[in-house]
Amino acid sequence: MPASKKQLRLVRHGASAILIMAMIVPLIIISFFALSLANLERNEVATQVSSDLAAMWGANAISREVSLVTIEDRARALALDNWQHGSITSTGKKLDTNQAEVQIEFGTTRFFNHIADFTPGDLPVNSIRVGTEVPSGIIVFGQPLRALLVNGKATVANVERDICLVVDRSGSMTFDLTTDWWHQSKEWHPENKMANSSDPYLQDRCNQWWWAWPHPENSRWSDMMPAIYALAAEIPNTQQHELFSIVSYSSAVTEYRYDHSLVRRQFTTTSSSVESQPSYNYLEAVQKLDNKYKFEFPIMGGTNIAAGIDLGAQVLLGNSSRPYAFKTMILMTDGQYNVGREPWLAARDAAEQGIEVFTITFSNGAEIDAMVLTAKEGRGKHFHAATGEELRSIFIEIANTPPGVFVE
Amino acid sequence: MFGCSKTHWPKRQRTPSGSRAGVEAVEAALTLPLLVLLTFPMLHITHNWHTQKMLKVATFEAIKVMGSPDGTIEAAERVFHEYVDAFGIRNAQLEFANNVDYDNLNTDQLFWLRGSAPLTQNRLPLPFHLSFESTIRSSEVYYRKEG
Repeated sequence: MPASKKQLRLVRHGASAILIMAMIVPLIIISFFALSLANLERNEVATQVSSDLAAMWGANAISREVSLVTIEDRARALALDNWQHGSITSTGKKLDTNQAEVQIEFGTTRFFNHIADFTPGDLPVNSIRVGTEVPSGIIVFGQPLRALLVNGKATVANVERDICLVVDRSGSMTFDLTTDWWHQSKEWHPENKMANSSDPYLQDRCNQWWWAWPHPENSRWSDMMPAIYALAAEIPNTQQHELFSIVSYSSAVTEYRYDHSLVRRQFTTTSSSVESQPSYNYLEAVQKLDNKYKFEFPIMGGTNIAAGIDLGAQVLLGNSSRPYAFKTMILMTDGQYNVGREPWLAARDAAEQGIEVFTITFSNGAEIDAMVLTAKEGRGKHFHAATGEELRSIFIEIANTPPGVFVE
Repeated sequence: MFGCSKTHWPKRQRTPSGSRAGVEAVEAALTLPLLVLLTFPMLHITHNWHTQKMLKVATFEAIKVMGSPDGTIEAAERVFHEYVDAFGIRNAQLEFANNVDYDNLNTDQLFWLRGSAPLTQNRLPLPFHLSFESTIRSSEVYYRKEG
């Protein structure tokens, strides 16, 4: 029998109140859930910050060769400090650090074509991974339930870098930087011993002496050397340990030249040569290069840039280099390649083996477009320096790359 | 029976509409404060937490700069303000511990930074607020000076 209107009205009285009473509980639960969700998100940030900072400091400590036991203790303490102050309960109470679990792993990160691959437990250690796991989520009486765990994980690697400087020793490096020619006369060359010789034969040939020897002040070579010294001085200031090597290139020629003892000798150059094997003695490597081409061996020959790149790649990938380090080649040229294959093909080959090729053109006679293309194929960057000071700034810029990268 | 109902019906027809209106008003009067009490504090708390979180992110970026070997207070503050400006937090400040000489931090020395912003300029435009504090503060972010 259907209910009368009276009965219906009697039933409707207080219906809203019952509905409110029924809804108030879900409403409170929803509010509770929303707050817990917000707290969860906040704790996620806290754990990530904890892991990131602990891993960052740990990577820095690895580069300073602090013992791994000390790093582990301090990185864990740092992660816990940040978590304890960052993960706040609804009452603002600081949590017990026993509730957090911090996992620390050391290992090796290898770089290949800008891709980082971390292997825990591998040697040599250049990376640290910090994982922080904390309870969060639903808050009960000011304490988060352990059922919901928040993870923050960070891996930071020190970017160890092997640098190979590939310098041009072709004949044009003895040119004056501004006039693009052998500018100096015999009288201007302070080390032209022939000009001051008592032997008329030598005096007649005094111009031949400086023909292949760079003027100590007015030559591209002499403008380049202070910049290379500045590079060698800058490398120790970076946070990573870098292995530094030097390769030079020109072309294979045999010519007669007067040496510093005023003896006419036959000099034979090769397309490229290793001036200094990878080492941590940066200044020594540069001094060796400087002395060799100032006093011992003339600068002569064509410009086989590809030969320099190929030999530089061999050095960077050889046994003296480190397999886990970034490979950087700094290629310097003052002119145009006129011997050998196209340099961008050599740069492409180097890049395929995980080497980044930076190119620097020095002097206004350089073929800039070719070097831009070479840098592009070598996955590096091109710079142009019109003066020795600009070259110095470029070398310093290349040396100062960030000390660490987040692997994950 | 029919007559009885017939005599009472007009009375009933008048009274229910009046009594129902009253019940709804009472129910609404009871419900609304409850809803307001639940919703506004929730909005207030979650917004404050969000601001705290953003202050923490800005502080995190600042402390990385401060912790680098050549890090300075000026550089850290510059980075902090770049971030809080991007987050739309007004008049935020970077706070330092009183007992730490930030200009002369030793390698591996533990230190902290904290971001703060005035609540009055960074709260939601709600009719009332529960917080008794005048400042929103991020938690302290700790780091060790790099070498």
